[in-house]
Amino acid sequence: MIKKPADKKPTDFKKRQKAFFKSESLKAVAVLAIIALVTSLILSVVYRFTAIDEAEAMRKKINDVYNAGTITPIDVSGYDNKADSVILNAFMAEDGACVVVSKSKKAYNAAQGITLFVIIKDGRIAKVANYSSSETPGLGSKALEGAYLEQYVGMRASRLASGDDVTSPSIPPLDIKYISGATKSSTGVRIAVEAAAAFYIKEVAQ
Amino acid sequence: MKDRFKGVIEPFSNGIVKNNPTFRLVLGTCPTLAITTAALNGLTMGLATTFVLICSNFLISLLRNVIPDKVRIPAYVMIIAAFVTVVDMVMAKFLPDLHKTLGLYIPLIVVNCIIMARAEAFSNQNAPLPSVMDGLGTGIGFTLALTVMGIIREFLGAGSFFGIEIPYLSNYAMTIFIMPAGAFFVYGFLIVLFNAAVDAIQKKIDAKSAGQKHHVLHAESAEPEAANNEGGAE
Repeated sequence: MIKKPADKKPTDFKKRQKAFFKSESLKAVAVLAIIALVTSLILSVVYRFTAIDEAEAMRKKINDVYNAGTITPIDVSGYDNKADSVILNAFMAEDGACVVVSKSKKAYNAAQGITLFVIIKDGRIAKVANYSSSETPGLGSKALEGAYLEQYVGMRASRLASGDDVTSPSIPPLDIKYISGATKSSTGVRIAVEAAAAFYIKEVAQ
Repeated sequence: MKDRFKGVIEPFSNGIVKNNPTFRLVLGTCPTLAITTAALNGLTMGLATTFVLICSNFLISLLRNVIPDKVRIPAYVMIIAAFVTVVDMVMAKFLPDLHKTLGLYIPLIVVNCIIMARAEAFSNQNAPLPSVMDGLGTGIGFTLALTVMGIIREFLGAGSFFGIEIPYLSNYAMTIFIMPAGAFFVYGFLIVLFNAAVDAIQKKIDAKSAGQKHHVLHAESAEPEAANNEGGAE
């Protein structure tokens, strides 16, 4: 009996198909795919319980630092940031104070920078508080403590906004103390406060 | 039964003392040096790594006969990365300040050589329960090492203990201990101390067991002699 070529083709195909399904490569792909699927499922379940509402977390932190009552966000998307700084957020409080979340890219831990809450009321700094930073404990961290940040309270936002760029001899230089051994952290704090003041003068006071 | 119990307990105790990942195997050096500026940082990092070690060891051990040998490394990385992401998300939600302080070092647990080493050397070849015990032991060993280093560096470098400032001491703190140079100094010192202590204990144990062995051999060799003597007397 002569075999028809048409009969031979499906047999070969079936063999190859069988071999393919038995192959190590397919098993490897299948195992990796199943592991990826299971891990994705685990992560999606964990995410449901750990998702963070950033806006709500920010409001809570602001209220911890300054009793602002109801706060209204200010649009910062079009703001032209000063060098080495970013204005992350800004809010108007019920009592007319402006809460600026200002980040300095200059810090000892430059990867994270120094982010501060700078509260400005009636053109003067009302409060400065640390929002997030990880400077060296016991050294750079001293520049983020209330006792050090207190020196900015009462300073005019307009004067801080111009920094030490003023050339007029009648205007005295800013009397800002630095912590010895933590110059980078102290500079980072100053940059963040000055950036917040500049934002206030440009976007809120005018 | 005794062997079975030993097979579960031994990996646990080995991970803490004999094969301590930080002081004996000198693994995971990067987080050890970088994040131990404070005791709490070291403790948190150690606990996060312990969780990942236990979970990944368990799952890898469970799947050891299913995962093809050729793709075992990508499979391990995927499993480890999933648990690290779980830790990252949980810490971001419930411990935001610590999460920010530890920063990049949490996601970097994925490539922590301790976890990969335990997956490749132990859980790949052992049953789930011993693997879990191995993960727990290694994790505790790592946590203890990081916490001790953090306590010493924080105490000497910042004059505080777990963030609580110690009166007078903080004014005389030696800042170098919380700087990178201090990390190497404390690490080297602790390695010497730990290894000297473990080796001394090991020598004592060996001497004791050798003494017992000698005693048993002596007793065994003395018995036939006594029997011969008795026989001779007869």
